Amino acid sequence: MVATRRSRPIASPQSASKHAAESLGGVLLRDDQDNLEAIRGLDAVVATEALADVAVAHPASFDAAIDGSKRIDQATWRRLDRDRRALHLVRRSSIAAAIAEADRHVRRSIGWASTVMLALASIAGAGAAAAALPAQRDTPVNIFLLLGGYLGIQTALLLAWLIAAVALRGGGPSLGRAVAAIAAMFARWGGPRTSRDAAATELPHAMAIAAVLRRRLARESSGPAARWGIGLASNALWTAFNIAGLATAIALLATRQYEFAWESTILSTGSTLRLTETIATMPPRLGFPVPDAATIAASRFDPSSPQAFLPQDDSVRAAWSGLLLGSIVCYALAPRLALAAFCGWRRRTALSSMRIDRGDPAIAMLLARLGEPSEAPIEGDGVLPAAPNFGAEDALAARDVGPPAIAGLELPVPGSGWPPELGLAIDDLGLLASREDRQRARARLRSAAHRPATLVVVCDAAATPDRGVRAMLAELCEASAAPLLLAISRGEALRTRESPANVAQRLADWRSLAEALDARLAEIDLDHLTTASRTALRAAIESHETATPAATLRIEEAFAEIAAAAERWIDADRTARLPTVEEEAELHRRIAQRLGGRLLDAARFEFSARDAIGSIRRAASQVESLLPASLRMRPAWLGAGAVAGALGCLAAATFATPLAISALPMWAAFGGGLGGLLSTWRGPGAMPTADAGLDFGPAVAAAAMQAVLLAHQGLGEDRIGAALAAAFAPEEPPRLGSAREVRAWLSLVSARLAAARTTEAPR
Amino acid sequence: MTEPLRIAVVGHTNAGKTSLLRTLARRRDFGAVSPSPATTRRVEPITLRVSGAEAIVLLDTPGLEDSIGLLESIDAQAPPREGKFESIERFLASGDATSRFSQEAKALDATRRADLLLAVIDARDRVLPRHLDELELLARCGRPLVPLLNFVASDAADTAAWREALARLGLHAVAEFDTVVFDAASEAKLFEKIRTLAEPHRDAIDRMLAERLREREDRRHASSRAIADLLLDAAGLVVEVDDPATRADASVERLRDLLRERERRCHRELLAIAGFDPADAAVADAALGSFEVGVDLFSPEALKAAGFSAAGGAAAGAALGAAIDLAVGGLSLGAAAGLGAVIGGVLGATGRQARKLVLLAKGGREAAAGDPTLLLLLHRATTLARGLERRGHASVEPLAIGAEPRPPAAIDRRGVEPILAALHAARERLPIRAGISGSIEPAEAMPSVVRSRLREELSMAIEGLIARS
Repeated sequence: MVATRRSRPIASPQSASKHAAESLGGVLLRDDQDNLEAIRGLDAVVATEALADVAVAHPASFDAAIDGSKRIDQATWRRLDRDRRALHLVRRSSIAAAIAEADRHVRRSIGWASTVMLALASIAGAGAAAAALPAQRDTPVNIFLLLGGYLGIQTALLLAWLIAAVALRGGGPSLGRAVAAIAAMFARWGGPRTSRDAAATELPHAMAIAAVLRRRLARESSGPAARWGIGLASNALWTAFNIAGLATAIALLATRQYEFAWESTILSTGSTLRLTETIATMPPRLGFPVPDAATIAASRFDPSSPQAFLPQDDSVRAAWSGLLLGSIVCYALAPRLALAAFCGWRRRTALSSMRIDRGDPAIAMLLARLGEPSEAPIEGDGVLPAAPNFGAEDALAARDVGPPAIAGLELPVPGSGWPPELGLAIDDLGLLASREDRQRARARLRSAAHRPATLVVVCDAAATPDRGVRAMLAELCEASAAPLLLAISRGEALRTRESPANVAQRLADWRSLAEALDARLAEIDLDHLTTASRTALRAAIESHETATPAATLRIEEAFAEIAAAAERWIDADRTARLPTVEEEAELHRRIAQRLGGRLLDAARFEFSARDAIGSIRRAASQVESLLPASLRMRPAWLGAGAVAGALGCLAAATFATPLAISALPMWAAFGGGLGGLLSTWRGPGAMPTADAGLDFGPAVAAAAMQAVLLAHQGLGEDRIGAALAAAFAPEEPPRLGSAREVRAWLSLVSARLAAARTTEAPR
Repeated sequence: MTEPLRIAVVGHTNAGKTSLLRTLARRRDFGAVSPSPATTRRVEPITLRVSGAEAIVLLDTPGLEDSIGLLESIDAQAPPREGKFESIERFLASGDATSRFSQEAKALDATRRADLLLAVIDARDRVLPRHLDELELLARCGRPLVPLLNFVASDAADTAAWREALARLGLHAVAEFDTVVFDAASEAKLFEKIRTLAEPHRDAIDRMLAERLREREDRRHASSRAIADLLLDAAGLVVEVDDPATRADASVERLRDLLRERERRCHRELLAIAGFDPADAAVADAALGSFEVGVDLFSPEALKAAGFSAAGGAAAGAALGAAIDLAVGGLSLGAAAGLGAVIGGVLGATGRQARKLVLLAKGGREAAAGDPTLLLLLHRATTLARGLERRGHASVEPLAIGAEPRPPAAIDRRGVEPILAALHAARERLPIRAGISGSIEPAEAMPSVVRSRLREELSMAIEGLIARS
């Protein structure tokens, strides 16, 4: 609390920064290399807390500081743990000077408050002593009244302080608290400018100062360090009071001659004797003379006969003076001094063991933000092994073609039984899981007289298509020398356990596995086998045509993309808003990428950079003309088709010219014109109205149409038109206000597409 | 300093090894997590520290994908009477270790650097021969092996089947965990299982368990204080309505915006405290409906607050007076103390009541958040804090908090009454003027004893609410 002992020379503004580096750096970062000890001590704690406050209030400048720090000393930064990073940051950041300045200011305020209060206490002590030893001496000085007046109140207050210190843990009013309050007042009055004007110009700096003031004062008003600091201040003030009192008493006793006497109405001489002797037990040990029994008896003053009180000789006066001074030292000064020393020692301990409060929100945020040291990978090049190449042996391939063969890989017995009843002759290899199963199946395929027309392997969609699965499939292909039809079942299990994004990713992984093995892919649900799905699988096995066109799976991925985008629009910034033209364009580009963007119909989506708007218009009207009659009658669908055409054309442009892919802002350049076109196509209905909320229907419909268009590209206008007619109902697109509604509508569309396919398949 | 305990986290691809490390280390940014195979392709360490010192090094390893093929290949080339441990050594020295089975070789090689193996198993998978072959491979590595069933909180998890299968392999000390749905108790159990197999590191693990417990308490404490700050600001926030006839709606709208912004800040704080990003929670805008418009000079809280602050001022004044008494020798019979009390009382009673009087004189009114609004803010923030406590650092799906027009009746009024009482007191005694810049000014530049006491009271009560699940 009494900070004068640690006061530093006041730094000039020029040297403030240097000083900050010295003081804070010296205190905080004695060693930032290997010492991973947690932040300790008042200075380090306050500086860290101030940094945390700045980080909360002004994240931008804080982030800049972090980035700067990382740039300056990448190696050190990586090695430091979070606590040390905070210190490192304080030392290097521009707010270090502000923190140091505020820190000095608080110290000065505490110093001034202490000085003022010490001066007042000294004056009070001198005054009390002077009042007790009056200049006017008609009668001898009443020694017990003198001792009681000077020591009595003090002793009572000392007891009160002790009780408060023990029972209230340092709470309750005390002189020390008054010092703290006055220091806080000084700090507030004379503080570095933290007003709103200053904040406007030098935000982080002013904030750092305010934060240091607040944190430092908080640390000085509660907690163990504050408790002992307040105790130290209280006792130091009383020590000063008594030193001044003692000095005044000595001065008065040295320059004036007092006669000391006692009088009493109810106490006998014997009682007085015992009382005096009790008081006089301590002072002689410090060498103070005390009156003996005869002197005490002789010093009784009788007001009825003042003449009977004989003038005392020097030794008697010295003895009474000794008792007075010795009592002040032993019963007032010494206890206060001892308590001050004790409080000082406890405060030092409390200060040195002071840690940052990890339960403080700002500190917790700071630590979370600083991150942990990163560690280098131990080994590994991150390269996946190349896929083993199982070339079919000529001898195996030369066999006659027999019936198709079917195997289930790591599949539980399906609900419809195994093998699936497909209504055609099929060679059952069984459900394979263990090493032995696999060896048996391989041996059987190799030793068979015929090679299967098609090898159907049903896999568990919920399983990860990893290298183990791939190796197994490759082995079977090699042994059979037959084209592979990879069927994935148990999609339901996958969908119940994974999120839509993960489902889409898993399906994509299965598809790339099929592509890598040069296999066709079919999705079938063996647990709920229907006539339609049975027929579709049989057709796939017999006709060598993909049962489920890969495009279907891709459409599902594209729809997942749309749903994800809709979620972003709706949840971005926690407030829903319609997507910007750029966002819509980006979505269409991603859809095009998923559905084989490089294959985009060049004739339809011819893009000329010189006449961007013209080519976009042409693409739009081309898609409009593709729409089936039922949809073409509806302005909403005409609009969706136009938008799909325009954005598809734009996406094609980015694929055609690789430079443009990186130059996404190119779209922003079109944004104005394109946005205008889009809103004319969509009509005024697409504008949000205050009461009805936002409608994502038009944007989602256009994206879904893009997906259907691209999935069916190259199949001829009839097929495309039929797919569009199957997928979308004329009275749509519906109003879609939430991500859930978007997802629901998209799954309705995919269900319609699936239904259309099963009716189409037998043809 | 003793060497840290080194644990290799091994298992089938996609079983959640990297997720486990993320959750154990509370690090969202560690490694990469995806539903595709072979996401982790190299051995990456992450260090768990106890007060700065390295206690445990966890090694993330590439997944074992083709265990059947590997075991087949090892056994096919095995010389007669080869020991199990030697067979792994032989494989690691062979050409297969750098070609077809290079991923498996990285993982198996990492086991040689480890004191203990954690075999992560996706409990949602069916028990398949390939999984058993993996465990066979790992058992051959000659290190203590702890199977860990991951995703046990999922409905699809078949823990019993897995336990039975593992028991048949002689693996009985099975840990259960869920890297997405975090549970501190099962984390502690996991470390206890590890402790039984790593005797020299017993002390370090004990210290880490203690530190994690303390950290959890710290985090809950910090969250409660962040929520208490939100509520104090929300309760104290008063927007003055200059012209009630025309401006009331606009003022309420402004109040609503300020509250929403303040709530978002609190949610950001809660996320950061728990070590998550803003993307980890999808919080809908609160449907804040209830506001009080008017001036009530004589509400019980207002009177109590005014009376209280007058008494507080008087006490301070009396203390000052007592000091003056001392200065004149302690003999002035308390006259100064009496004077001090009068001055202190007058100074203490100004402020809020006085401002109300001025506002009333001008014909204005004021708008403030009503109880249902405060309860809604409380409910949403505690729901988020509770959700984050149970969120593993491997979670990918954001935690959703709905708009919820009113807090559910399930909130126990008994737990909430003291909070509301404290907030009513805060409204009278800690009013906050909405800043010109449109944001809530940082509460106060200097600590206020009243605020810090109310904050502690509130955060205690809120901690109770968060703990009650």
